[in-house]
Amino acid sequence: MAIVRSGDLDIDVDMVFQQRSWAVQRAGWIVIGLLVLAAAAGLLGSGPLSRRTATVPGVLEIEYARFTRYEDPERLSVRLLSAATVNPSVQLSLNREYLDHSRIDSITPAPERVESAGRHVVYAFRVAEPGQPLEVTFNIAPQRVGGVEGRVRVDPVRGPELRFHQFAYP
Amino acid sequence: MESVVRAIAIYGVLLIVFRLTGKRSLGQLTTFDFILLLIISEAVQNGMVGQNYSLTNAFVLVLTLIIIDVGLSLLKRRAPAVEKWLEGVPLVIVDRGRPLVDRMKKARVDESDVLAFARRLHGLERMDQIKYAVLERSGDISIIPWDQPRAVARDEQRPAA
Repeated sequence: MAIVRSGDLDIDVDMVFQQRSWAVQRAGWIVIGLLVLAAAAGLLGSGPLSRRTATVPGVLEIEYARFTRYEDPERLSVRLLSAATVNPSVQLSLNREYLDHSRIDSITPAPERVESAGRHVVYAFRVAEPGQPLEVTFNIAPQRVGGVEGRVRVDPVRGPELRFHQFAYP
Repeated sequence: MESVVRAIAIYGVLLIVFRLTGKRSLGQLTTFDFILLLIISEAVQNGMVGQNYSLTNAFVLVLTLIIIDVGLSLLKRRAPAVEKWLEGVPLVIVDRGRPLVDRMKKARVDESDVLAFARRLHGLERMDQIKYAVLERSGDISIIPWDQPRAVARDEQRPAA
């Protein structure tokens, strides 16, 4: 660094740099403040802005976290509405890509059967009260960083697939 | 591989955050600052270690952190611009007895900080005894007093006594 004579001092002051670094510092504080606000709001993980719902009217309703974090336990709630629970058994399928991305720690209620079907994994649940909504909770933990598209389908109801997006922060 | 990336990420983020908070943050550690540092180290620990409790992982993390540190110190010697950005520059805050209030405000120090250092380092009593005060890179304040007539007088008296 350049040593200069400032008054009686031999010193490496640099006011141009100092002013610039103060400006950067001020900007940095604003960025940090915004990051904290974003985190509190749920843009960096769980929080009000992260909690989303998606529906196939009459059939299926899911509640999921738009933003998750690596290895941070999360919940995927699936509500099977009356049109889906007319039979004594209902099958819910999730795409393989989503399951590669998120580890399923537990499912409540436990499925009667789990089968692999092509690019999907099918979970079969017993319907205790046909015609009544059935709620299934998947406790998941993201295993990979980045975005993934989840696809939920109810069989045998030939309804449209429900798609949702999740992004896992490192 | 993952632990190297983790260590680099943690080092980088902490470096940026601590540079942004300014040199005053670490210059004079109050008890609470010290506790805050402990909490920060707790907070980053899990992110850095993850779920890998092996000795190998611990060694890799330590080696990575140290090699980044050595690498940066070498880089600082080669490139003065890098050194400026990583460590900042000293700042004169009292110039020939005149406190530069505007600079002090921007650097988040005040005259009582300067006076505290003046008392501690030189036993000075008043602002007008300070010739220069410099806020150093480390966050310490260096005090250069005016040539003290009283001290000189005492030295002169001694041979006479």
